[in-house]
Amino acid sequence: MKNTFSSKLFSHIVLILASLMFLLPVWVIVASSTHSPETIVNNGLQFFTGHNFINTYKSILFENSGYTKNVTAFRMILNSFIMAMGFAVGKVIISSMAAYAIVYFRFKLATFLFWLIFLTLLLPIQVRIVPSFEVLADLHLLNSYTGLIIPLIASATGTFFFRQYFKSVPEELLEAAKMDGANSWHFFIDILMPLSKTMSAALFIVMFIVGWNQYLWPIMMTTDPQYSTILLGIKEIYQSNFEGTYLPEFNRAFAMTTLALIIPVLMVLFFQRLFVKGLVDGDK
Amino acid sequence: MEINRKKMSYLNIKNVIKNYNNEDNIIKNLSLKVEKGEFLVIVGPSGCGKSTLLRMIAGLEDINSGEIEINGKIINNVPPADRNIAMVFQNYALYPHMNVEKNLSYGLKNRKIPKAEIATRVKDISKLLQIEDLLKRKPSELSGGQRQRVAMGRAIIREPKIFLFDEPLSNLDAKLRTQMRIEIRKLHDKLKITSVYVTHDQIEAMTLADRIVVLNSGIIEQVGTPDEIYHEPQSLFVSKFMGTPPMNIFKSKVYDNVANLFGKEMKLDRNINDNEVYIGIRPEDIYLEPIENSIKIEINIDMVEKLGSESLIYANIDNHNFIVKTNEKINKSLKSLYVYIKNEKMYLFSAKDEKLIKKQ
Ligand SMILES: Nc1ncnc2c1ncn2[C@@H]1O[C@H](COP(=O)(O)OP(=O)(O)OP(=O)(O)O)[C@@H](O)[C@H]1O
Ligand SMILES: [Mg+2]
Repeated sequence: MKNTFSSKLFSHIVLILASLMFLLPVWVIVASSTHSPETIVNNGLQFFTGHNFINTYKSILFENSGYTKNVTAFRMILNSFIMAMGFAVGKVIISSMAAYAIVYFRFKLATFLFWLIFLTLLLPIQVRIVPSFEVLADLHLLNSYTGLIIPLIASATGTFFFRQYFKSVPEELLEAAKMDGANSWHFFIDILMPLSKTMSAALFIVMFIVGWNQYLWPIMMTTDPQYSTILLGIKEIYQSNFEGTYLPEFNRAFAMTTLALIIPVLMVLFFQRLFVKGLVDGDK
Repeated sequence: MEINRKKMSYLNIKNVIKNYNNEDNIIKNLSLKVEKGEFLVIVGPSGCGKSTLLRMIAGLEDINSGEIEINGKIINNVPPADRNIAMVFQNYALYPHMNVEKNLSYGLKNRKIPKAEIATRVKDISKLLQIEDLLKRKPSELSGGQRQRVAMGRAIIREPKIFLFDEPLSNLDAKLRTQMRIEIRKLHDKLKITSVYVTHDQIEAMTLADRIVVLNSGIIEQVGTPDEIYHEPQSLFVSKFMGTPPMNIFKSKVYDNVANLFGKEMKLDRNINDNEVYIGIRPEDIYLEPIENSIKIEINIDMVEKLGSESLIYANIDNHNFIVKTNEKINKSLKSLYVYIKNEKMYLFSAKDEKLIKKQ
């Protein structure tokens, strides 16, 4: 296609329209969350911001709410953050180490084990949720961060990506490191991990979002509201809006939704800069 | 950095056999001694086992049988890091994410050498190799020659007992290669670290080596000084392999010590027990002027290549290719020419085992 003014204009229009399609609903939620419950109930969703911002967000962040009225949104965001962080960091660590073992320690069953790990892609948490729950209940890990995070950490996808990457690292690098007196731990920490930092960061951010959006597992695992995540908070607040006999507080629900968006967006923005830097450094 | 003779090491390889995955032997019962402070160059065609041999010395590859000793101590089972051997790889294998300084000091850091000493050594080495201004750069920001220097620095800085090079110059362009070759030799003369250098470039071999080892499919064909290898090749293989342009080789029937060279009879000055020999003549040993005790042959010229001070004449006789090297001016349009060859200048190899038939 020729890069004429009109074709440029056309592609920009398409891009802008697509962005609007994604952004508008989000914006409507953000804007509506700053109005009073009455406005929303009477006049529907709002396109412009209102005057209730500070009130709503302050109360939702710092005052106890929920079924049992004993957890704040702040606490739930913290829980989500800890879970997503542990989930993502754990996945990067475990899968890089698994790939390291598979690629560099040519033990007999390496290929077999790799395919075994790969097969677990077919077994998402939904499939193994009952046995996983059993195990954690026996270990008394229900209602704990450990219980929230550990069962989700093993990652076939991560192991696969690290394996492919490690295989592309020239053999001589390992040999040079060996002659330089590096043991296998040194080689992993000093050479392999720094080399794969761009990939680790990509995996980390994707896994962070996935972890943040975990729903089924936390709902099974946590009965104590102190361990409730922001996603559970959203579910609960909408539910109570429909069940209660009071005026439905949609502004609070929207505020909760907005809060649930902020951390992942910040993470992506922050890591995007790291990516670009990693790609520009381009030292592979 | 002065290194005294007492600290120099020698390497002894005894009856080493190596194969991969129980297939055919790649290294076939090889024995070789590298003397203290010697610069030994191993040459041979691609796939003859040069890298394999080097990697066995380094400990990167196990050996199937035999022994490798450094200073009389068997090191077969010593891991690479503890052998105190340094290696320069063909593609440099610098750590891409570390700057030059970190690349140089990584080996020392792993050996728990105090920081102050590391700093001094990095300073000394970078001065020696003239890379002082590059210390903060990453390998990707260096030219080929600079990377080469850093790779050598990384090896030297550990003050190894033995230095191994696996075709270190083959990634450089011709001019840089010549320059680095001279630098490597100068460096060796300064440091006198026992070195084993692998190449398939015979000019590198001739110019760098104290002694050359010619390797042919896992067997040593000949060990000797560059002069010995060039002037007294002990086998047909060595004679063909060393020298640019290569030696002219013809097969000839022999009867009663008389050979037949393109229809001309020539009485040989050596006793031949077979009825066939290989006759080898170096391109520069062929004369364009009549000389005594020579035979005169007419050659058909295919092409003349002028190299400045000398010319190469590519020719043929009876469909045998024939190269002549001469200092004389040659008219490019010349179609044929008489040349003179002399028995004394000929190398004779047995047609049976391809070994040299010596002059009496
Ligand atoms: N890891 C390996 N597994 C199996 N065979 C190998 C392995 N490494 C090398 N070989 C074989 O051993 C032989 C010698 O290889 P080597 O790398 O030592 O040759 P070389 O003399 O260094 O050649 P070049 O000049 O091309 O580098 C070759 O036939 C090669 O195919
Ligand atoms: Mg090689």
